[in-house]
Amino acid sequence: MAISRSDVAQGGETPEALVLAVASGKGGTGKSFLSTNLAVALSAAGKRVTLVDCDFGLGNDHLLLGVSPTRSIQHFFRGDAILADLVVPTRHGPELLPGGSGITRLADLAEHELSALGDGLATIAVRSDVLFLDSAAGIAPQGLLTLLAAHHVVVVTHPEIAAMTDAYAVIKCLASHADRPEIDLVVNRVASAAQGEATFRKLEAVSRRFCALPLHYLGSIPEDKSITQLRLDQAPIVVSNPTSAAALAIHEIARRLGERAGGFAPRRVMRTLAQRFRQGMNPRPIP
Amino acid sequence: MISGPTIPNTVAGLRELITRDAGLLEHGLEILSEDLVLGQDNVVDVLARDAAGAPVLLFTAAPERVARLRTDLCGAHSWMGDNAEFLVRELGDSVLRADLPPRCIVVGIEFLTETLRDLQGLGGGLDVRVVQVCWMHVGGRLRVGMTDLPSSAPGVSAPGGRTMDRPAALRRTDGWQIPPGVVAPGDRKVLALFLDLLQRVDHRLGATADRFSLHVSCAGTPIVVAGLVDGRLQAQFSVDSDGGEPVRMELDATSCHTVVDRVMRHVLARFESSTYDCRTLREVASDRPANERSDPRAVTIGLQGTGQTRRGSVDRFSLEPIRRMAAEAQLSRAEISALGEDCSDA
Repeated sequence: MAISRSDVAQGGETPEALVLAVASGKGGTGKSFLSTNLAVALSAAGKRVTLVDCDFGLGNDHLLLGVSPTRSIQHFFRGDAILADLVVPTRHGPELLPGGSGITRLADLAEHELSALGDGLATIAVRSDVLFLDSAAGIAPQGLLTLLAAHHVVVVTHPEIAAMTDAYAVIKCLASHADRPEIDLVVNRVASAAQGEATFRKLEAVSRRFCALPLHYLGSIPEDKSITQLRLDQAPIVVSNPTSAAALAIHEIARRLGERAGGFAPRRVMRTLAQRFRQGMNPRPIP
Repeated sequence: MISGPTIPNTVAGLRELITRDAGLLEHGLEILSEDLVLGQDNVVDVLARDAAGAPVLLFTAAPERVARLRTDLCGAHSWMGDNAEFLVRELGDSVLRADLPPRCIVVGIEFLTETLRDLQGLGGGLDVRVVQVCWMHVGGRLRVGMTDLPSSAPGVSAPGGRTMDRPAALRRTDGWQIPPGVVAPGDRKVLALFLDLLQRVDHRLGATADRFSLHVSCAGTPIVVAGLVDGRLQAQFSVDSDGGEPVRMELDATSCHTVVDRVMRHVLARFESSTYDCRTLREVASDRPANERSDPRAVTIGLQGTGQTRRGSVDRFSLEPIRRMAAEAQLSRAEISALGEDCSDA
């Protein structure tokens, strides 16, 4: 399948990680669950993966990966650390940049802080194969900015109308941007594969009709009551129960995502992650 | 309008000015004694110690002293070289350090060519600084100007291997450098880091440095002086960014970013509002075609890669387009209706 478009150049500068953002319109759709499990799955496949918890101030990826970092992105915005120094290893493979927890100030960052964040992330991107941006749910500006900086955005939704509507709102926001990333869809907590496909078809049809934007389907994750993170030391499901239907679905999603992105490898890009961050704040109109 | 007592524009007035605040001459300079006679009739107007604890002999240059100044200076310096330990015993070794060679500073309102020629011809390892001082009262406030005049060949090594540096503007194009002095190697590293960070804050920041201190100003207005105080490197802010009392902060490797952050706040608080109107900039930017808005110079300059960055140029980027994008993404009735068909039973 096609490699993501405008950002990949024939001959760029330093190769940069494939940047994948995971988004949702509504909280609780399993965005962080998917991000952490995809990151662990790719890491297990030998890729250098860094997961960035972009839900600044309300991040919980560190809980899902079973780490208790002493510092978070809060220290970066306070000027106490460079971003790369805040990245911590996890025992499940991927590295994690913790998003900070319970810090309200991080939910409303200024332009210059976000621009600096783009610079910082770019330094991490050049040393990774894949950079996952686990974005905040919704269409808050800084969440959208992280999506615009990615090569691919994986939108996670449920089959319910509320989740679909909010997921569509995210898609619609991105559709209005000339330099939007590729948008893929994952339907979580489905009763059957058919329900996932039906949900995708519904969203795809609406997206095509109102935004002239086709979507790509990566797959669905079946409802599994056992998927509840109750303990800090609980491993992601691709590790704790690799033969479960949910884990297998995640591996299938990873495979399709790899096909879509042209492999999980660094690439020479026309515009770096830092430049894409800035361009997100200075967009081109749709021709 | 002048209010309050004024300092007469005389040599006596100059003495008063210097003794009132010796730090005007050099950061950390403290007066120990006045009107000394060292050796055989060598008159020293003021004995002081610098920030490192080295003895400093201050002489005032008066027209009637032309013939004596050179003799006084050489005689007193020579005496100090022979009797420094005696002086240290008298004053206490916590006050003066005998292991540091004495320095001389000659201050004057005007210097005769003859005087300058005399001073320039001293050589012989004498560490002499010649400073022309002027002052005036403006708006009820005393303004003091200092100009370093060429004295004994700059760059001549003084005893102990120190170089006789002079206050000099540090130009970024040359790479800001710490002048050689007695600042400890560790402190030099901190100062180097401090300068490196400062260069990223704002192009209007300038710095001058003398042996012990680094004076940072923005558009000519003093912001902070970094220098030794009691042997420790500190940053003294002239006025707090919030308009409060002057602030003194320790300057070390860990606090360096915090100090620079405060410098940035000073710049933003005191200069930015008059120079940049961010709202206007955004409006102007919005009025131009978007593809012309990209300004390659408008890049974020981070403080060593942290989230603390200069704001002025970065404000050319704005989240407003994204906010508009989100606002315009409000779903229409038709969209909601199209999504509304239940697919849960599929």
